[in-house]
Amino acid sequence: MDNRALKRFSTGLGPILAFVLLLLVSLVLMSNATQGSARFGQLYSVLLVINALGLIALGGLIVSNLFTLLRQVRRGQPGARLTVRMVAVFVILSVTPVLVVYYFSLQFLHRGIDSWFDVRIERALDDALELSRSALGVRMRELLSHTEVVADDLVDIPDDQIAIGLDDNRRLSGASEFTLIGANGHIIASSSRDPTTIVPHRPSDAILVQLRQSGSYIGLDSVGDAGLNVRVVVRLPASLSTTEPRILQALYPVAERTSALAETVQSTYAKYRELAYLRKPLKTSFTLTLSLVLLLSLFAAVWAAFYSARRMVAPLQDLAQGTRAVADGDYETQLPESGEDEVGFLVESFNDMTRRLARARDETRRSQQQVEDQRRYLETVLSQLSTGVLTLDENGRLFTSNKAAGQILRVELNDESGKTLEEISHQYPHLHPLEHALQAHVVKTSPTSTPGDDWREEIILLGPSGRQILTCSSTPLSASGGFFAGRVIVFDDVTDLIQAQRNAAWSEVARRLAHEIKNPLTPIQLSAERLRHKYLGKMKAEDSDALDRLTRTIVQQVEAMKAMVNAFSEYARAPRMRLLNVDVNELVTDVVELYRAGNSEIDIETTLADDLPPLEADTDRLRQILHNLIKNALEASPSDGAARVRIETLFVKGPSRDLIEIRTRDFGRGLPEDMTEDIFDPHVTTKTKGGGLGLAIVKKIVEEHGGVVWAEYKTQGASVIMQFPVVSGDSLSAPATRKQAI
Amino acid sequence: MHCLASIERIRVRAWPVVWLAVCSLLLVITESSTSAPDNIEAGFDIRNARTRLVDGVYLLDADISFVFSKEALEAIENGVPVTIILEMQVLRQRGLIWDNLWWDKEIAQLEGKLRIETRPLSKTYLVRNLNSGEMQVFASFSELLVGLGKIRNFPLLDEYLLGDEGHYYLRLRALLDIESLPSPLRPWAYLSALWRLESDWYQWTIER
Repeated sequence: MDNRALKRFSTGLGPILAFVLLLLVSLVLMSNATQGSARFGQLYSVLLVINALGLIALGGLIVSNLFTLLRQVRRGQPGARLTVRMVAVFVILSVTPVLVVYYFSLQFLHRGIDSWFDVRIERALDDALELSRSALGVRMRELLSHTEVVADDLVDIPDDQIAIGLDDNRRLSGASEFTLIGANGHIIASSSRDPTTIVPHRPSDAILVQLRQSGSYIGLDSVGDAGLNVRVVVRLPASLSTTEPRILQALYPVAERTSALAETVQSTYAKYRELAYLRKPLKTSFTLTLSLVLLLSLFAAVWAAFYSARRMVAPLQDLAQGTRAVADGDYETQLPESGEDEVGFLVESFNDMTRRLARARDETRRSQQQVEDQRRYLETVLSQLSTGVLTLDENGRLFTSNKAAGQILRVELNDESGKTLEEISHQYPHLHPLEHALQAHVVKTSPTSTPGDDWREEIILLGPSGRQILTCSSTPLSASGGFFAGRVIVFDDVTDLIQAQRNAAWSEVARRLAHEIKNPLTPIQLSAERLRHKYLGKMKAEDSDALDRLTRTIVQQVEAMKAMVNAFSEYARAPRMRLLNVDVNELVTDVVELYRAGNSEIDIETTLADDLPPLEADTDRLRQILHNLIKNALEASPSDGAARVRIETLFVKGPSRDLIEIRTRDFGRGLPEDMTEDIFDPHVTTKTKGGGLGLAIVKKIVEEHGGVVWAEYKTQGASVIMQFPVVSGDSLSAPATRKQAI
Repeated sequence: MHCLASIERIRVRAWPVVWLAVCSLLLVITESSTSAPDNIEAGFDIRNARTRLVDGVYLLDADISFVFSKEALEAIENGVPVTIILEMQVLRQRGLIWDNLWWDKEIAQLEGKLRIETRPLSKTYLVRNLNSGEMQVFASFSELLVGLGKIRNFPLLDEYLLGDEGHYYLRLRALLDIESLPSPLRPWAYLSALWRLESDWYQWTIER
């Protein structure tokens, strides 16, 4: 049996009731034994011990209950104080009447026992005994005299006839038995009325002692089955015939009626004396029994108080614990049902409430899950968008942003969450134009007015990677109830698009130029040469000089124009690329060596990365890029002193792909900041000579290789940075696919 | 909080009362078992006991001194029948060690019961042998004590019950039978030393 089962058994109603009932039966038996019942009299001591032990056990149970309750009170267990109060009330209500009944029962008991004893009854019994003694005494004295006479008669009878004499005298006297006993205790002769009596009744030693002392003995004795007899023992007088002292014992039957009456008086007297003697122990016994009954009642009542209080408080305890559990968020709590009463109704209501709460919680969870799913879905969609999306809360603080927003603005926006755009732009000054645009619209639509309508604007940012053109639009967000809940800002980086458009336009211009201008140039040149050839010899000397100068100028200018048109043609042309694996370092070294060998005043520093992978590129076009850049750098160098150029190659591990970076830097005047993007457009130049197509061609070739190029302004000089994507070996065999990917 | 404080107070005050009650109870028990110095000599004592083999039956002769306490005497004088038990055990010695009851085998156990009654009409005392039904009348209590203490020819056991070999010994003691007292007297008789009248075991070898 495990501990819980044992506890349930020891505190259950059934076992305790059975125990109390057994104790009660035991007490009833003990009460019977106290009242002299022969059947239970033998068991009195055992019953007393059983009851005492039972009561100790019951008391122990109550003490244990009490300690448990006190411990619960000390721990502040819910319902413990209520149990204490209920137990106290129950105990007072049950114990008080029991104590009152006990007190009066005790009084009645003692008086009842006392009333058994009355001086008059005692006197009457004494008198009855005395009367019996007197009545029997007269008869006994007569019988003594008669026996003495018989003894005198027997003295003279010879021993051989003494049996006959004895028998005659017995018959005459009406005695039941005459016995003549010798000195050494042997029976000389005997006569009995009962012929079946073989061995006569002998006088006891005590009688013989008394006979020796007083000469005779007379007494009332119950002799065998013959009932009450008067025993007379006398000494025979001394005679001549015999010298030995002899004694005569005579037994006279007492009349049956007299015997019965005497026996009744004697037994009643004895019983009364015994009862009178036992008065005090009897009172104590009854008191003891009553006290045991009282204790049983008290203990049973106290236990019942504990039991019923626990039963009544249990649902309330369950309710308290259930409430606590609900407060802690456990809505699955269901309390055991506890009957049909008000508490039961309360418990049922509680269970109903928790069920509803659990249902509501489940629904909320489902809704939350749905919202979460939706949010994740939107987040995924937004993160896959190339458009940047920012949401600001009603106070203008950044609430959410997608990945593209951070990439476009070149800011780790996850770290900036909760800040206003103003705070962010303090940290990232290139975002000022965005902030200003937003401020302008917020001011236009102050908080007192409507939070603003949709707006759309093109914003130019000058970020770390150059100029960025953003098309930005914003829409206010409204919460339920139509309140302003923030703003969503959507923007796209259209820099590349605009650039592409511009490049396309320039290509078209170049193509048209090449087509429209180149055609008339040859006839112009030919005409000028023909004019010169035909008329130079025929003219006067001063005219021929003028003609010569003029036609030469025309031819030279046409040549210049042809060169320019060819350059444009080259820019517009998109020749087929021959892609090979190129060692960039080697190519850079080859190109640089050409310059170094040609001119000792040129100082070209190279810093080449060791672990550079091969780049899949068109070698000729890559070489042209390097030539253009070195040429540009040399031209940008100050005219006084050696021209200085630095070329670096780097391997950049990007988040999505690896890159090869080539940086060229001059140490000239540098670039105006607002020109870092435009400088790659055709005919944009800071130099005094050249057609302004060098960097435009560089950009075109870099983009044809899927790379990017930008210029950076330095305090002394400027840098042009090119990045080419490195294609993994697997995809080398599929250039078409790769091209598409680029 | 008030309730808790009350309980604490009760708990603290209750301990001395409990201790007092326990001590008083112990005192009462000790008192009742050691009081009445005038009755200190009350008790039974077996002066002498022996067995005789007569016609194949062992007979017991014993001299026992019965000194009743004041309480017992008072009860007898007031007509309360008092029973004396003579408890006898015949044992066979198993080991070399004498008086090793746990080891020795019990051959027979006998119990003789003698009830002392008063006869108010004749002012005599009656001793009734509850085993045989035999009665003896004594004119005075002193005679009764003499007669009661002289046990002669009490048939004990047949010779054949004892084996051919081995050492046998007999144990005898006399005691007042509290269980035969009227039930109201019994609880006090059990608690009081004045009612616990019994002799030590008297032990002797059965001669063969």
